Amino acid sequence: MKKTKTINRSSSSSSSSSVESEIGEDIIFQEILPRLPINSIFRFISVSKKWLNLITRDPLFHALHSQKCPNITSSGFLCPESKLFISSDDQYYQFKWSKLEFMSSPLVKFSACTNGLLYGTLNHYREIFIFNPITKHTVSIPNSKSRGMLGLATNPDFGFTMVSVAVSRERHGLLKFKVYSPKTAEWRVSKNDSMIPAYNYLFLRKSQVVFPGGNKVYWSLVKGILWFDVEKEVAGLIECPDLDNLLVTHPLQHRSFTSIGVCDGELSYIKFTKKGEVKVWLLREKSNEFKWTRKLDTVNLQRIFEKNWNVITKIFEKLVLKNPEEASEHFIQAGYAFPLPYSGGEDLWFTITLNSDPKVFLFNLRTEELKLIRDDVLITYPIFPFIPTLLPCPI
Amino acid sequence: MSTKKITLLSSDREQFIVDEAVAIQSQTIKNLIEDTVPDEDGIPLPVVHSRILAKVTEYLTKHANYKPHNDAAKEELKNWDVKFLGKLDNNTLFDLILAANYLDIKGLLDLTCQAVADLMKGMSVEEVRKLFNIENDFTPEEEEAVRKENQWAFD
Repeated sequence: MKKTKTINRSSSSSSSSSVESEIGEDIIFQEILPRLPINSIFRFISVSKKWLNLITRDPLFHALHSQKCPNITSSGFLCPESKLFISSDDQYYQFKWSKLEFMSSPLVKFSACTNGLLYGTLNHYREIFIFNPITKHTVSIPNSKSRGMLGLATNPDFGFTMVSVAVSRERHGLLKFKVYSPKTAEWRVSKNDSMIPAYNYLFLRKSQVVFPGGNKVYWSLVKGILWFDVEKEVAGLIECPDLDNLLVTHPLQHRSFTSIGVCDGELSYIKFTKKGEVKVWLLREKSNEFKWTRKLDTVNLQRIFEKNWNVITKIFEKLVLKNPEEASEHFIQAGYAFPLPYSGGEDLWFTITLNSDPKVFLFNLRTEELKLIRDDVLITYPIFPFIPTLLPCPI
Repeated sequence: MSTKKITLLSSDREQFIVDEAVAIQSQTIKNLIEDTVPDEDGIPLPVVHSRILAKVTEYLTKHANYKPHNDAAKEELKNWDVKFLGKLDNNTLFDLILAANYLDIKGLLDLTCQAVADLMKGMSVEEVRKLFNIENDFTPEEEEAVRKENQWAFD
């Protein structure tokens, strides 16, 4: 993007009211376009060659956009297996990743999304990729030898830090952390004092990981939340709230009816209880102490079904559901209904999975309207909360 | 409390007399007051027409006299801004952007540019080209290819 002197440019155009006013490119590119949500911006890449170049390739523009556009309208969920982005403003986008063969390779394992970047492993866990699904910008780094669970922290100051957490071989039952940063370009075992015993919290094989901003990466265990501070290299465990009402599916699966996400820069924790209640908490940190704060009044799955009974019976025609009460009980007891991460606002997202076919639902807390999301394409797990960004992967 | 008055002179030589506190919200005017010997008739703003300067001073007067202390006041000012924008046609909106940019009034530039961005959300590619008077330099084949490659946005 070339910077031109606006004062000179504008002096010729606005002196008379009869002449159609023209805004300079600098104002369009620096002040107007960066305020558009990503879905709108991408619609305009075909305006002209200059626009295409700016939107898809100009790092200065990407940085400006991340400053100016609050992105609120375009947050949603990414289903990398289905190459699908679902957003709450009623839009669904099918990505075209034809040039990126690795995305459809069976050897790809997706870990999570952090700040609009999707990451995971390739090539039998040997490599790690960081990928921006919007700009298709990709970075790859070698994986650590321990092949632990990954967690990505990004920050304009330190670029990124990849954390790998695995059970220690030397000291039984302890979790050991390794960190990788582009500066050193190698994996390094974190300080010993960050090794922590986690057996009381039940280790999850398919743990969820989030990075709400700041310095901490969080992983969900069955009964607790594991955290690692990438700056101080300290780790810890926080007990999950409301453990008396914790539901776990099969003990080997260790799948709890909970999800962690990010809500306004804080960690959110959503759960379904045995009674079909939906409860949400936020994790607040104050002078090194963690505190769970309830967010939203309790919502009940039964109530959601009651209000939208025709939607439910139509979708699950074959199940012959008698009434909302029974349906809600059935879906929970059988392990069909799971909450998706809560990202704030009036949107409650959850899935009901029958025969490995997850159906994604969006419930609006204010209007109490339930919507089935995109039934014409096959949605597959994983489903990650996702905020599109034009920023490239930090190196 | 006596306040110093400043006279602004539009491109069509119309005078606008405002409080100094109102005028110096524009960084450019502030610099002009400090650095130049004033014209007899006022501070000349040769690129801003009286029709637009009237709007600019309306905005500046409201925002100078209105320092919001609480949420309700902020809300009121926001509503005022919405009303202010609502009365403008596209041409005036564009002229205001140019004036806000030249006069270096950050609040007004933010407000007007956001208004254009909001306008664009509902527009087609062709409408945007027309809005900014941009020539389409793609061949039909190229344009089709660009659209296809980034298909996710066209659903």
